Amino acid sequence: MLTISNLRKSFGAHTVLSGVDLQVEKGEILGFVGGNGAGKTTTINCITGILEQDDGIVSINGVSKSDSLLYKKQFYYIPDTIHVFQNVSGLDWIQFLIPLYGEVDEAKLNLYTKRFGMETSIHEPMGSYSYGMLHKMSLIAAFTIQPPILIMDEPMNGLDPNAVVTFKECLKEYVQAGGTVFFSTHLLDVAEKICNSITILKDGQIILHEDIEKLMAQGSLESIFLEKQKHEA
Amino acid sequence: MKHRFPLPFFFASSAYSIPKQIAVRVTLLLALAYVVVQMAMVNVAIYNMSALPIYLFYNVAVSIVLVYILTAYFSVSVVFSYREFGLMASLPVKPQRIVSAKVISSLLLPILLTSILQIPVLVLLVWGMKWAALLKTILLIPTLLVFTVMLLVFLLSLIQLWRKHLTTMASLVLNGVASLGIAVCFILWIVTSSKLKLTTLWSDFSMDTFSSIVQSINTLMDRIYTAVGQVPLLKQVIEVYTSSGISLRFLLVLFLFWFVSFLLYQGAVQSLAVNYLQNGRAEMGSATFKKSKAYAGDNEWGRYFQRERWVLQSEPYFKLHVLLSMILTPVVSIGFLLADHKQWMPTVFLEGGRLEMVFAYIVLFISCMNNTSGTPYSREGKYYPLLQSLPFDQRKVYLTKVLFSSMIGAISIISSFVIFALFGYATVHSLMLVAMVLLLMFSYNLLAPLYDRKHPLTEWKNPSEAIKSNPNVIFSLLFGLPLLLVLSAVHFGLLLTSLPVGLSTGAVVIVVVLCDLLILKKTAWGANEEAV
Repeated sequence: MLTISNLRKSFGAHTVLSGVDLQVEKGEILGFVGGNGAGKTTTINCITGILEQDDGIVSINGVSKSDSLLYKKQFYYIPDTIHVFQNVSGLDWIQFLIPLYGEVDEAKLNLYTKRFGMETSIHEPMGSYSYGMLHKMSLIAAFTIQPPILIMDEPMNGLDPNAVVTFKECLKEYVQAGGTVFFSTHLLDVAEKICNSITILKDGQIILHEDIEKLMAQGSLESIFLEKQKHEA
Repeated sequence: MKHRFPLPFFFASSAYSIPKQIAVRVTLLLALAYVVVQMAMVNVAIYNMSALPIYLFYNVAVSIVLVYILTAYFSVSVVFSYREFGLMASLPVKPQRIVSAKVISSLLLPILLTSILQIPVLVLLVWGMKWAALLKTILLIPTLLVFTVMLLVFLLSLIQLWRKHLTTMASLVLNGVASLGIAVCFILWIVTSSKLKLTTLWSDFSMDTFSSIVQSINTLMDRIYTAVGQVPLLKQVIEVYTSSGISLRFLLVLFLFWFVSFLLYQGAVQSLAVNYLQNGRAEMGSATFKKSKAYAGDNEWGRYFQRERWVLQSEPYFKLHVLLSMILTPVVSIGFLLADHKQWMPTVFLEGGRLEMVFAYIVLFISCMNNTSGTPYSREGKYYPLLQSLPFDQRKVYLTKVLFSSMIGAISIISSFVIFALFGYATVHSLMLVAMVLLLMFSYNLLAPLYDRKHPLTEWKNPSEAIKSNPNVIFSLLFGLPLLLVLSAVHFGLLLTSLPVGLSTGAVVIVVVLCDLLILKKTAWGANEEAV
């Protein structure tokens, strides 16, 4: 599904990614964890095309990043900070996004809008949305689009408890339908419950990539993360 | 003092940041060096052509005009912007302190840039051993620059008293209109007070020989100098500056300017501080968001245009720029045609059917220089990552940007030619010129965004940084202007031959069509490759 090979990225003299290799399989929910400055967002930015890597190969479903348009149709990305056109309504924005990926399925859109409790606010300008509402709106777009892979940066930030439950349900359904998830998070207990594999990034290199079941046999994700950080240091 | 300084530097450094890209820095330096060299050449020419008083007068005039334009432009992004409000409102700092820091920081760049251009003047005065003039220039120029900046900032700050009743867009428009209005009033005051006859200003302008051109320019400069010297108040300043030696009157004039500048500074600070909190809240627009209409059709191009419209609507400053792009060319056209109608223009440039051509190229260059085409990718700002991560066809994105700016340009060009026709100048040839100007504008719009497409400056804090203060503008001119300059030179060159004027325009139109097709093929198809 998602293949990253020898991914390297530097900003001037500062090397952020020094040869990241990663394979995410179809149906996998991969939790991408790491300390601040480990290179998580840079990796995501390289995958999504926001940054151009210095070296390495990135492909999704065998489609190389160099085939820009087809490649970008393979994923939908929800960043941590969502910048929106303030005077555009959430619905107009989603209806603008969906045709970029394929046909508009109004029934599906209405369903997810209802599940995330945005029936009224979806018609309001996005400038009036709270941080959590922006994430809900992006999740509605993502689950309506149903791309092959969903890439998210801290997707649960700002979500209210109801939305977190809905998010987990939708995620499960999406994966059962053949979707793949790649998301970065600092919430290790959440990653432990949602993900079926974990990747830990430190100083621009992957120091652990393992199935969650195997990891859980060794202890909590928190203790493994802390131990790995200490050990690698 | 130690505790008071960081705030002005905070505003100055956040408003005028040095670009990160080395190529852009080098280009900015080269552009500045070019301007200094050009100014030096003009200075040497005027210094040698005319008497010292006239030379000193023109130095003051150019400096004041320059600092006025820079202040009118930069004040929007520093003094009258409330971008810092979210950061400052919660800090234990008095509005007066914040505002005074903003006002002081607004002085820095206009005065610094104008002062750099004084270097050739000072060198010439040292070279000529004009010590009194040198000392007076060192003392008077900064004084007049500070006075000009403070006068404009004070007058514009009065608008801010009603800022809370205005939208950001209305406030920006009012600022622009007021800056232009003050300048126009000042010129009208000079013209009426001096009884300057504009019809006779160019009456004996001759371009027959080089010496006759020099003589004509000299006479023109002398006439303006004499006329301005008759205006009350200005007369005193010119006299004390251009007279030999340093008199007590000169020192008194200096003192008076500094005193008035200080009063203007206090007035500006007070009128800005009184409503700082209300204005800041209004600018933050926390209350309501007006829902924008969305394109509901299935056409893919419609959605791309929709997105471009959203980007332009995202900042009032962008909307103002679009508005200016549409109206500036017709306004200049009216000015040009009125000047010709009143016979204020030098006939030497316009005789022999050249008026139409001169008009067409004025319209072309003004509409291109003021167009929104130069930095459309930088304008994306925080939305740029969306452009990169969503499956947009980059070729269509690029062409949408080109077509959008071309539509704005077309509105300004066609309205200018309608005005031209209303003045009774239109001929069949004018229609050919309209087609030529539209096609040339399109080719400019195809070329101008090419650098910005590859190296957009999206991390701006203030929307003016995305458009006019964006160093990529220089690159857009470097990419776009050469073709226009070459073709206009060829077109005017053809006039010197025996080729009928219509035929020469037709030939240029054919060349432009071919150029457009070639550029379109090369540039549009490159967009998707660059997006990789």
